[in-house]
Amino acid sequence: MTRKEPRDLLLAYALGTLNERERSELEADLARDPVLGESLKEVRAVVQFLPDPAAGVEPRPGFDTRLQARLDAMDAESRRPARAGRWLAPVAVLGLAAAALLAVALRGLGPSDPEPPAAAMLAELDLLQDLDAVQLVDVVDDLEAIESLDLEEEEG
Amino acid sequence: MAQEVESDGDEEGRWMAEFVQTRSRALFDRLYQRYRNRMVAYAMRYVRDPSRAEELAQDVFVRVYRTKSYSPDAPFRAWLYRVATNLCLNEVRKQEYGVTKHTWEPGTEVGAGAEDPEDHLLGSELSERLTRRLQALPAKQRAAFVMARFEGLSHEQIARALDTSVSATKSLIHRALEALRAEVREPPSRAAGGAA
Repeated sequence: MTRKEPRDLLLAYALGTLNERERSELEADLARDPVLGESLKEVRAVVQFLPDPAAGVEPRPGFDTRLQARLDAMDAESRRPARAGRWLAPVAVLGLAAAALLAVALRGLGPSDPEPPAAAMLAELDLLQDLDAVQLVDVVDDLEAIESLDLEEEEG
Repeated sequence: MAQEVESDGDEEGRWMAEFVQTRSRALFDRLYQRYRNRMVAYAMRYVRDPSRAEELAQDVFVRVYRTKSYSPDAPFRAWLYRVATNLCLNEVRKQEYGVTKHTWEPGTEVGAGAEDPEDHLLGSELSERLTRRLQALPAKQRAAFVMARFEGLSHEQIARALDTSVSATKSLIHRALEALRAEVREPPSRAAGGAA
């Protein structure tokens, strides 16, 4: 086992936390090295005069309750089953919008369809009426924009 | 005392590993009760503000609670201090806590033994300078020194907490001590004159 550098033991020596062997070895070093002895004096001064801002500090009343409340909230959040639906609903709407755009593009290439695609999309959207997120997205505006594009294409 | 903490390390690691598997609040509470005060005190050594220290300590336990995987061979104590040190250093980096935010009177502890008022003044002044110097140290030096001086962690535990080698840890502590010892060498007359 390699011996530790004396300088690395000074703080622990000043704190009184060295084991018996390390302490006796360091004391032998201190006896023959005055420079190391001076270093120890300074380290002891640091230990003595550097105050501990946490001396006597304890959590104040309410600390445990606040933490338990945070943990309870985390548990409740992780148990919520509808969590996935929150992001699935907008994804579903975006998917429909993309499908509508694709349909418009394909319609321009193929033979004319007597039924407007927006009406078909609205029928599909009826299935998603229960999803809150769908109601938050202004789907109708998007569809109107798509329809107007469609009309412009036909007029062109 | 240090021996007691060492021997508890494995047991705490097992508790933590089991908690991650079972999500048992009782297991979490065992660890929480053991480190509750220590984490508040540890955070206090960085931010020196009791409210913020409590928030940081709570954040530490929330991180522990959220942990999804834990390697049982990692000593829990070192792992916990790693979580706490990261949070505390991030906080310190976000907002440097000045000595004006101290909630204790520098020098009150060390001054208690000084009979001579002049000694008391010099001791108080040195305490203030040491405190400022400690706060001005680079983050890792400061963390390594705080863990060695106030938390009683071994070089090996500090190395794990800081995710570095033992030799690098020794170097960090040595450099921190060098900086603090420089304050001790500062002529007291100049310092006392400035304070008066």
